[in-house]
Amino acid sequence: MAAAAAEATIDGGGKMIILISADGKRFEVTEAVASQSQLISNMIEDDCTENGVRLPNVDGDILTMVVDYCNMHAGDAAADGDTTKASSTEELKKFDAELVQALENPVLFKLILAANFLNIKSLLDMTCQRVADMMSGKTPEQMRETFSIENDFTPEEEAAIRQENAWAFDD
Amino acid sequence: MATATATASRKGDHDCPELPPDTLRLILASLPIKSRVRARAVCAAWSSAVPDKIDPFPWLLRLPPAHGDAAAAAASSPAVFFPSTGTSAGFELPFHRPGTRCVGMHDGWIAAVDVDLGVRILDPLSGARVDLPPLTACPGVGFGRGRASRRLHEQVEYRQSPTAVTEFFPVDTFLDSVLVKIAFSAPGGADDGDGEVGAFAVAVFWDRVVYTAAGLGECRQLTTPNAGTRCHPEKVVDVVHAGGGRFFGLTATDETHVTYLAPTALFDIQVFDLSACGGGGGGGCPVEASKLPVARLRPRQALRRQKFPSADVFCARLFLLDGTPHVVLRWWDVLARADEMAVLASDPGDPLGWRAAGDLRGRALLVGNGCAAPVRAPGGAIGGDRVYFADKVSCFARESNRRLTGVGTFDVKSGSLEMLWKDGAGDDPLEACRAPTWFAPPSFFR
Repeated sequence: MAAAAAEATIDGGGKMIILISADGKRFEVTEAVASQSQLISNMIEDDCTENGVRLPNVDGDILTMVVDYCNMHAGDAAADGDTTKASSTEELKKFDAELVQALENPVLFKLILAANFLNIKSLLDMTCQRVADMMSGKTPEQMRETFSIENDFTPEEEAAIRQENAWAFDD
Repeated sequence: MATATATASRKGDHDCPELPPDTLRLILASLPIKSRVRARAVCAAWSSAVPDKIDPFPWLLRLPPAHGDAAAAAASSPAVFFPSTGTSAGFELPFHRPGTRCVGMHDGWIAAVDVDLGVRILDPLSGARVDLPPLTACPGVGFGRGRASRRLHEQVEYRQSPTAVTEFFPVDTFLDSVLVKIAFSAPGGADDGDGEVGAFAVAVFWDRVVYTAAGLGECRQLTTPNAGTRCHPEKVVDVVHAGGGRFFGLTATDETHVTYLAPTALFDIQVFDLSACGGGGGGGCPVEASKLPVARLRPRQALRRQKFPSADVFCARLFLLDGTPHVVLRWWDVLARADEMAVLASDPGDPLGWRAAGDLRGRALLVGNGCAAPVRAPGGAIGGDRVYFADKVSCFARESNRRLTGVGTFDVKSGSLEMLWKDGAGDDPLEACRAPTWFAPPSFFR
């Protein structure tokens, strides 16, 4: 009993939290993992996680990715000086890179929205950087195509914007 | 709050959900400036996420030094100064390394040299770049094992020495004082007919000039007609690219053997044609300079005639205005007195061959480290017929323990001088910065 309790505290709070996605899927994660989300961390402080946390605007498949990400990154805040963790930072980077590289654009955008809503800064930074990388060096037309965005400007409006900074559009 | 966000994301029913403005701003802020401006033209939501007005060009690029005290380290990211508004802002220079200097600018591209003497031609707005052979590939330049001297003037005796230049200098001193300038043809620019990327480049050191060209694969030393003549040592003061692989050089023949330009210095305009040695042949004829049929400039006479208060030229820069060689001259005290700058234009009809230029044909001349370039001045952001200059302490001022810093503008028509920023006045655009360089998009130079 005593040993189990000790283990639980080493884990950084063995208490489990249930996250419920928009389509009703349930994920059980530890408090330490879940509190990487500032939103959930605040809820834990306010003690309103008893009946599970409903996330009405995060789909199940997106939440799966977020929970995977949080599980992978649960260690880096808790155990900084640990040598076994240090060796896995490479792995962690690889995991992150693979996570964002493989995503289709709509999924990537949904992941950004989820990271933004859950307020997970590292995930938000990483996904935003990925979008920024995809945008750099592209013309506005290519950007629209990449992200399937509709051009809602009138031709005059667009011409005015281009005219304002004509140097950026000269090739 | 949660439900409000939910409806917002449900509204974007097409492929990509709409991003909230905060997130969009976060993404756009990390883009190079050119892509950020382009993103404004994508759709209304993106346009309103970049409300920041882009300050009108030209911009003065300030790069922080590699080493320094804590204050310098804190401010150690590149920044730009906007002369049109007198303000500064941080600037994300692509591929920046601490200690990098800008030593040349042409058609909106800058030449950056890092502390390992790697050379890169870079478009700071789009991030496009071309790597050139490092300076260590130049004859006589390398990291030697010699002891670096603390004081520059101790090295004067080595100036004629053909041995490794860097052997005698700390890297910072080498980059700031020994390397004068890198002139180059703009990659893919209008003046580079073949579109060969980074085809030609010339590096000017204070005792030699080297060049490289596409297909040459190495750096070679350039010989000027009087190079190495001990009684009339000739020094290349400035080099500019004149299009198609031809470079115009300004050489000073200094008869008095002093370290810096003497009142009696004579200026010649020479031409180095690199277009013949590059390209497919690669055989590589040695390039020799030939003199342009332009009269030798005797600054003292020309300035006396124009009743300038001093004829002691401290700094001379060459630039071409519609193909005509012009020289801008500066006294070392220029920032203290209003009438100590002059622009001379080559004029075959004049008895001295040169006359004081009454205007700059509506252009603005940007003078910074390694650049003296006329630009169009659209939209009234900067004035035409004006010289915009920025200078940090030079060797001469350093010895007299004077700080000469500031950003100013000189009206060529009226001869009046106005400081946009003056030493000691609040936000110092040149503080913790070496070698400020101007830049603007390529379209400004056409």
